[in-house]
Amino acid sequence: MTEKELIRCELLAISHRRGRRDEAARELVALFQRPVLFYLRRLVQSENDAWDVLQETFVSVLKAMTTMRDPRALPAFVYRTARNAALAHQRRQRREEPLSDDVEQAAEETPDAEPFRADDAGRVHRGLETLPLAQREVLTLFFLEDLSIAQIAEVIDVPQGTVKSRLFHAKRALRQRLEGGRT
Amino acid sequence: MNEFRETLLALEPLSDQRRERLELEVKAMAEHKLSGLEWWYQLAGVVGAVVFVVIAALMQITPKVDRTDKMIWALGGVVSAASLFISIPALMKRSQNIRRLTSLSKAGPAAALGIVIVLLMNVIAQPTITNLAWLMAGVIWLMLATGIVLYNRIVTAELDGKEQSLRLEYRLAELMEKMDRT
Repeated sequence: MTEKELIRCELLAISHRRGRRDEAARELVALFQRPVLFYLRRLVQSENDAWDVLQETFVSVLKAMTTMRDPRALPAFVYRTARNAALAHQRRQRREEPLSDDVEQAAEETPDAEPFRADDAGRVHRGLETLPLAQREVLTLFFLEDLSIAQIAEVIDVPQGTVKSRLFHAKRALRQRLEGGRT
Repeated sequence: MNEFRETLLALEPLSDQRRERLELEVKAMAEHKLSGLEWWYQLAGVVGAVVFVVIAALMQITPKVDRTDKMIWALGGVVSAASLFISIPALMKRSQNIRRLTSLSKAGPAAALGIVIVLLMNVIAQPTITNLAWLMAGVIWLMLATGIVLYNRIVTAELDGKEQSLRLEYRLAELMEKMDRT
């Protein structure tokens, strides 16, 4: 997240502490609605399910705001809450796809290839759907740029090395699909 | 902001109907909904306050009650009647307006001070041990109410200061962002 957005998270927490809950709720939605919905759309089956889970997420976050000590940890907390709500939703729907990868090889220590450009966004958006869930999730969080690698590891509850490894394989798989799509 | 991220987010369709529904639900969740127990507690408070107001009114027209007691009952009656303006809407809407409740709590020391003055007048007029004990109790109540309001004022002032400095930091960050772009 940018410094500006982190300051907004702190202001949001102050509004909540001062009893301006409506203002805090509006700001929470303004900050997280689009990226968290995007993330949830990669985790659950339909758009409607994603909206339901998003609403559950905001309810839980607003409830937990009273005891939150570090407002700068809010982005990681929101994504973790969203993920847990999505998993609970999947369990209710009984269509859980495991969120772990069985091909967890160590990431090769090669420098990152060229970053994805805005022109690629359309194909990346479609390409993400074709990746296995675990890779799709980590790559989505990476693209959203709201969290650091350490925070992504915290959200999906795996070591940082696993995040890096999944990212490496996910990017490679996505590039292969994009190149395959071009030919 | 990264162009790739923004383009990617813009590709995700957002249903206007669901967005509006979420906004309404978020507005509703910002209210402090009363639980079943809280609702009954509010109801008991309303019944108690109404009974107190009625007794206070009766005390004013009863000839045997002395002037000091009448004043104490009158003050209590006013406080109880004021509390009804908060409790009845909360009871009907099944939600509590935290901001209004906080502002009303500031009236606590004023009410306590009023009662202490009446009790002091009572001690001066009839200096008995019982009246003195009532005065002491009033003073303790006044000290507690003032302490709570003072503590809240300190916390609020601290949050005010932090909020102001964060707004300033936000403007600076915004300026830095603009400068980076140019």
